[in-house]
Amino acid sequence: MILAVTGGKGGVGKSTVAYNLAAQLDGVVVDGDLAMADLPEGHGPDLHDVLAGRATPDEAVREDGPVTLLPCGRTLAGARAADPTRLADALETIDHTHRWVVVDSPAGLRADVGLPLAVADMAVLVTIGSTAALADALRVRELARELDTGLCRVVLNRAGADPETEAVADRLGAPVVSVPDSEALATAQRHGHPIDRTAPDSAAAVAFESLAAAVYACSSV
Amino acid sequence: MVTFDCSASHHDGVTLVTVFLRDLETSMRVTVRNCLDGPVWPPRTEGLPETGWTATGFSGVLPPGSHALGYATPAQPDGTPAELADAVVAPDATPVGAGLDSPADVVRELGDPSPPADAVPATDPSTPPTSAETALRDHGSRSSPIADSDGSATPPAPHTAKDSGATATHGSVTDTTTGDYSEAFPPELGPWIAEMTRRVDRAVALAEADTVPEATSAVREVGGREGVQELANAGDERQLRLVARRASQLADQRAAATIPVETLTKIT
Repeated sequence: MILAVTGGKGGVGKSTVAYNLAAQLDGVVVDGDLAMADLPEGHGPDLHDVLAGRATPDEAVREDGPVTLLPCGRTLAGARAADPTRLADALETIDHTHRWVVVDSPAGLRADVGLPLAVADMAVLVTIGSTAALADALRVRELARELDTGLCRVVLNRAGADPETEAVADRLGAPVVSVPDSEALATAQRHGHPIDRTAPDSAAAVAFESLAAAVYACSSV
Repeated sequence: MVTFDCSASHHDGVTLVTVFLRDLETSMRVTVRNCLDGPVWPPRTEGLPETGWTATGFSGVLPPGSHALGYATPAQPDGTPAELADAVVAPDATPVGAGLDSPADVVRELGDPSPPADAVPATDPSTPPTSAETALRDHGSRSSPIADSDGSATPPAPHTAKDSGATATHGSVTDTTTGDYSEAFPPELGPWIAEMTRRVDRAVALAEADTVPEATSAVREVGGREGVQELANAGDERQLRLVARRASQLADQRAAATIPVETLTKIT
């Protein structure tokens, strides 16, 4: 099952959601931001090598960290040498050996956002409550529709005490899971740990649990 | 049914071929074949050939109406430039370019996300090596499955192996150029060897590209036409042979010099 975590705007927490969701689902998280990777680095071949034909997807998957990860290279030369059209095949190959493949998509609306969406079985849209972020989320929502990818949940990230989940759900056309603003979550992400290991009882950890349960439910529809 | 005609014009060493398919009453699957003696350079969007174009011409479903197809080729415009090889009625087929069915369609529609060539720093020794290069450099010092799989993913260039077989007379040289990295390179030399391996691989890819997509991908890999020129003029072979010769000479001298360890330790 391939799940695209996408959102349009940069800095809304796509990587954090993708990483923690993959941890909850016991899946593999793929750092799909070819030019500006966010997830932890790994040693050995990475997604740039896979997309340039220098390594197979399975060779690039790292299982030695807290979350199984297909890291992405950091160099512009690597990003330029990578052929983005190979991404679909790479994700499908990993999908054969892993129950869940969670793709952390980049910001924007270019092909590196569209390709994971095109091959994904469903999408999770991440946004924050600002008007600008919601406008970009709507654009990605339209792109997902164009590519026939179902939207499973919207994640309203860094939500305050009383998040406007209903209004957001209404605008984006999918149920909303709100993830509270959390220093513990930001610290865990900075150190490459999922929140359920560092603060399992925190509100953020509970939110990711319920997001994972919702994703499970979507997959069985 | 369908009327076919075509024309060609030659400008600056490139022949531009224009094909007209007129009066299609219904959707038709057509195959237009290039008859000139040269490769087809198809129209491209975001660096990728438009849907339906192949190495020999165009093949795809066109909706009713009149259509123009155009391509370029380096061949001289001798005789009829193109022919309608096949045209069958296909009323239920989806016309080309109607959806985002393939990854290439998505890239054409949404834009190639690759950074522009100008943004990529020119190759120099200070450029951080890619992870594959790091793995190659570290290969001798660790025997994890990561390094092994990576090594096999970047096989040594066949030309290098062939050349070494013809010229190398010393086992050490043959070993390093046929991919048997049983010993680690000295740390000072590792990045340079990794860089040379990458450049040779790219040169081989450029030399062996038979089709337009292969050539396009190989050219893109080196950063466009400037990159091709730079790689062609860099004198990599001369440098590699110079190093190989010098290393051979030193190895011979070293082999001839037997250090009398026991005697010398007695003196001191």
